[in-house]
Amino acid sequence: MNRIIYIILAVLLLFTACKELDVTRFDEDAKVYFYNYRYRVRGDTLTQQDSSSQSFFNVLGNQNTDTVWVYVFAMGNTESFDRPFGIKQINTDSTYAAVPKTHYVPFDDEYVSRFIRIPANQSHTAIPIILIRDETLLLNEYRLEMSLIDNEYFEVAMDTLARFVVKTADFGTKPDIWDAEWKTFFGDWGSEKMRFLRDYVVGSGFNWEERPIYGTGTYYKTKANSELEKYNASLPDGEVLTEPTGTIVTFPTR
Amino acid sequence: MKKIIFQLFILGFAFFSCVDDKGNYSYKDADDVMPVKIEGLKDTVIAYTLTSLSLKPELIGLENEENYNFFWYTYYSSSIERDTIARTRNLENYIVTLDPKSEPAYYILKYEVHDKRTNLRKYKDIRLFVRSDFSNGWFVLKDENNMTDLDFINEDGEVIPDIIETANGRKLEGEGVKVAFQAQNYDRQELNDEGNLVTVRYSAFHVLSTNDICSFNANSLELFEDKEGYYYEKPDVIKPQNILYQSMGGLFVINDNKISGLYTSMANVGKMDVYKAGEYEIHEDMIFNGSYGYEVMFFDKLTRSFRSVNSYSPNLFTIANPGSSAAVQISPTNMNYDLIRLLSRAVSTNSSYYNAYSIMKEINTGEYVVFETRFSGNGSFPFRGIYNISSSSLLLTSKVMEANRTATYIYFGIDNNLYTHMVTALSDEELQNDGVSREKLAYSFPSDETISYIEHYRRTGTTYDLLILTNSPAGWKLYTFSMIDQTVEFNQSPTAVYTGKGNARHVIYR
Repeated sequence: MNRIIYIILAVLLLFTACKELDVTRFDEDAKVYFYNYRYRVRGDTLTQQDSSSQSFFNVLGNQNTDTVWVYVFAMGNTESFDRPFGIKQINTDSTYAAVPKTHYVPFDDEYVSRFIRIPANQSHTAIPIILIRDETLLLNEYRLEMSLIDNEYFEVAMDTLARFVVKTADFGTKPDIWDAEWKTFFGDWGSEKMRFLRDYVVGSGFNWEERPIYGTGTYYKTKANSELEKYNASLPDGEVLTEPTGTIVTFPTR
Repeated sequence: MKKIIFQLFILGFAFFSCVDDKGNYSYKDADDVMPVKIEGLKDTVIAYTLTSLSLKPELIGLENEENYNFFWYTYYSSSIERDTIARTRNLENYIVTLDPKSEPAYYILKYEVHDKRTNLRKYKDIRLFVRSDFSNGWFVLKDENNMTDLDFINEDGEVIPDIIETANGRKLEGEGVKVAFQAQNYDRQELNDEGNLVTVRYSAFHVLSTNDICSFNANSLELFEDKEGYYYEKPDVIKPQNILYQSMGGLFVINDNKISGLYTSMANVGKMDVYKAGEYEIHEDMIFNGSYGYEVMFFDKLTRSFRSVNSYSPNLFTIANPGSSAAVQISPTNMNYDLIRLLSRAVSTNSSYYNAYSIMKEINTGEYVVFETRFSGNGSFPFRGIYNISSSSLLLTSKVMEANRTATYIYFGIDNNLYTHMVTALSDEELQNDGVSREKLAYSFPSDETISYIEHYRRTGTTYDLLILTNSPAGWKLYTFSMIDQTVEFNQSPTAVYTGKGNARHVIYR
């Protein structure tokens, strides 16, 4: 008897588990979302990113702005006219929040606002986040946390894809592929080591997120050792290049 | 029932829609419109790179040649990119510059006859197998009027001069220094058909002159890099002195007394590193640590020290001091000796080390010695014995030396004479008491010839030849002698003598 009751209960549970799924359809109301599938490492699988890091460390010294492009896609049918969408900074009260006009060009700027819209007959656009080189970036990383917001043309599509963060700084940050790729040639990462490599080995604008060809990595390793030897010899009283932590900067010698 | 009738009715229309369309076209035979026939061309042609190719088709039915265009073009495999090589009725003296492909790969050589009046065309496809003429033979590095090139001696003994100039329209500036053949893993970054940068692997020749250093495609002799692009960063001074290559270890180049490496067992871009780090000024001689070695040993003139390095390491290594049981108790670091020559001998049977002779001069006494040397890598202590050389030794007046790889002798040349020098712990007096002379005249070449290069060349396994290059006002000569067993002796009649123009400096066999 019990067995029959259990079976009936299980069948009832089966029905309870089934409910109508609320699927977001692309041909319904106009909605917007951040779409930033990128290669974290070139050659790897594309993955959706919810943030992007930028550093003026790797930007030529006489260049005072740097632009990060953030992609926004629209759902629903296209229209024959431009459709602005809503966007705003949401971390203005936080410590190290990016400050408009100090760390980035605000969204209501005449130039930038031209891009805060889905163009006529299109379903996506890219917003220029124009970052400004400010001396406060030498000390700390600042964050611009932004969110899409509803307006008369678009609703926000999905909470998970409604927010995006751009981080900016002016010091060397550890590349994502350092341990997997660059450590072979340069050893453990350090900010002073990074600065030295930029200034004496690889130059500004170097793409640290690109996997090196082994032969090229060997060339950089040889050059790094050679240049470091010269650099240390130029320092007074037997000083050597050190990290802020006191660790002496060295490169693999074999 | 009504429904079935209706369906059959509709189906009937389907058959009615097919009618016998007789049309009113008139067909002409293609040969009537363009009666030209291409004959006299083979379906398959084999051509060697940098040789000329001429083909003469028979055009049957061609009345007035002015009414036609002629095209010869090539393309490879399924690629649609074609290269027009001639616009003439006959293909005349086309120099084959296509990259050789091993069979079964081939190019299509297409011949096209185009009738300008009717815009009609006739074609003939020829399978063109391109092979390297430089697969096997001697490559003699020579210079004339301070310009360096390679002369090639093919398997038939035919000397093909100036193959670099033939392939590239230019030679290298300066006198010849050395040539090396890199059999594999010379990587280059090239754009593929889709416009993506990809790595393409080649074999390459590296040619050093006193003013230039170049790499060439080993099959087509097409220039890869000259001194402007040979290094990642062009050195301030281009004064190449030596090059060594081994498939496992890679490539080492000494330029202006500094050494650079290219590790070819891993992906690379075919460019030489910057100099190894540190203050040093090395002698141009170097030896590997074994057949599969990736480390070379050389002598730093600044510190009078033997040092070593491998192709991917940035810093020079220090060579170890002697252990307490070592036969020679002299440190290879901060020596009281200058190096005259470091002569490589044979690799050990287990390939784990190289034997060599280090001919050195004591800086205080001026005495000359030979260090019997063995290098097995990892900065290991190298000296096995030390023997005096008499100050009256002819060896010390020679600039052309080569160690016998199997017997304890050094060959050396003075003008047109080839000598041997016995390396032994016995003194000259002891040898004389035994009725043996340390140095002997081994061969005299014609008096107007000067020996410029000697090599005890390992032909196969345990079979060796003696190669001698001589120069005279008439040009260079390459003599090959067969060795008598694994001794210092060789058959006095050369097995071959090849001649060419200019002054020869080095020779290799590929």
